[in-house]
Amino acid sequence: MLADPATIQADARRAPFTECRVLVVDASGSSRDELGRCLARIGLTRIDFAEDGEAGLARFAAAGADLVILDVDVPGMDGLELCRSIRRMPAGADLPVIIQTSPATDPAGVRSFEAGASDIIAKPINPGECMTRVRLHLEKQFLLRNLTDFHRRLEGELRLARSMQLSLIPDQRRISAVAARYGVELEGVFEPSDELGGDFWTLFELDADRLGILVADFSGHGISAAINTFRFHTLLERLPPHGYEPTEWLLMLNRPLKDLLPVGQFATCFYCIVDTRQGTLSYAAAGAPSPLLVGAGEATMLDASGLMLGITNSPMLTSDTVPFPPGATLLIYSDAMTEAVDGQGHLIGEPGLVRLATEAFQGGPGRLKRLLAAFDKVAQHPLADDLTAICISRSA
Amino acid sequence: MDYSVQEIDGGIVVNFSGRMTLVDHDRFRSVIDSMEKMHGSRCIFDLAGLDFIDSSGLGMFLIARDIAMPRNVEIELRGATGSVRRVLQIAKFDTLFLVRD
Repeated sequence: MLADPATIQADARRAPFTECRVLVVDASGSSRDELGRCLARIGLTRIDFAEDGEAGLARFAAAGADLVILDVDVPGMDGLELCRSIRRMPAGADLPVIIQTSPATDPAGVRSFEAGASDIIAKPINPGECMTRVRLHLEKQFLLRNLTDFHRRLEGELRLARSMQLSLIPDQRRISAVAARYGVELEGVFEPSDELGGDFWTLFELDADRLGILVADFSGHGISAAINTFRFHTLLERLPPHGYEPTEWLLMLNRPLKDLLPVGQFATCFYCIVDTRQGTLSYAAAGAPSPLLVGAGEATMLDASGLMLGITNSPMLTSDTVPFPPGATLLIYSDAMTEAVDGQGHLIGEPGLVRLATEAFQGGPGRLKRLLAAFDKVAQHPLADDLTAICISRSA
Repeated sequence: MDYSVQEIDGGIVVNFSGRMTLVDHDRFRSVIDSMEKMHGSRCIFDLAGLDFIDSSGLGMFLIARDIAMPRNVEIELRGATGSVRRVLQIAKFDTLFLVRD
């Protein structure tokens, strides 16, 4: 007869624990034999025996084990003390420890559990129960280790992916070099809420006087949003903005994004050209948070509304050209700043941000740093979304 | 997010409340199911009870629109207030949906 596939699968899943090592600490020879037989019947072959607490502890310290079965009544250091000692060792903290208890001295096993037992089996030993419990704990241990390994591996990969994502955006050296070349003060921050995020920003040196700044935010966050930022980066290499008006260029980016992104995914976008010779700021926007323009003591929210990129073939965008004279500051930010809540649970919102920014922007360079310090004091952490902020000022 | 579906003459009204974010994707699937089963051509999303919506929430409306269009169903976004109203304005969703107060 062919074996039932379900059984084979179950056995395959159980197989790994036959390699496990079990330490049995029991003063009675007949008990040790009985336990040894139980363990052998579920396929375990690597079994160590000790006759008293001290020997058991020494054995565990020397060779370790994947599971320990100990009798509460062993000479010298008793089973409870042995259990406590094992728990204090790093290798024993999460180990399955099964204590054989006697119902007469420890009803319900309360003392054993207090000493750190994972489980108890009552004496005299019932072989069926003993086998089931050992198997159950080893399987649990095996799954837990698998999960921990998986988790560790994933963490490592996410860390690597994060550094890859960070390499897409301008680093401090590039920011400083661009700032010096155009005679502006420039700061940028990029903080994904998880390891990875859907925010992106970059700089384009269009010509000697004109600097392009692009900020995009892909819907959602985490891995799928991050993958979209990589796709976007590739798209920018293929379709650079040189020679195009902001609206024209965003519409050019929209077309391939529409084909690339599934329904329900999109990117908000803000692209501006700072012209230091003309003293102007020309921009186009697709559903981005309203950038904040501060100049001559006055704060203006720019209209950056518009249908996000990747939704329709011809989205309605907003564009404008405004003065950007020496002394003016522009803050471009992701919605994490306005969607954050304060200590009372109220949305910080645009009015909250304007209040924080107008104060932080007084007193020269380091504006964004001061703004974020003030924001961190007010906003509840962790933030629910990726935070990106870029601040550009023309020296007065 | 919470929602309830109500049948009306010629369509359905879906009342949304709470916060609409990434975690509501699965629940929104049942709103889509209701739309697939509905009769008529009016689908009203009543947003009066909605306190907050993020980009994933807007994405769900776009998915609903994708389901509605081939069925000749028009989606109306009604009664949004506060930050939800502001988000719909910024996203110019009135170019895709019927947006009403």
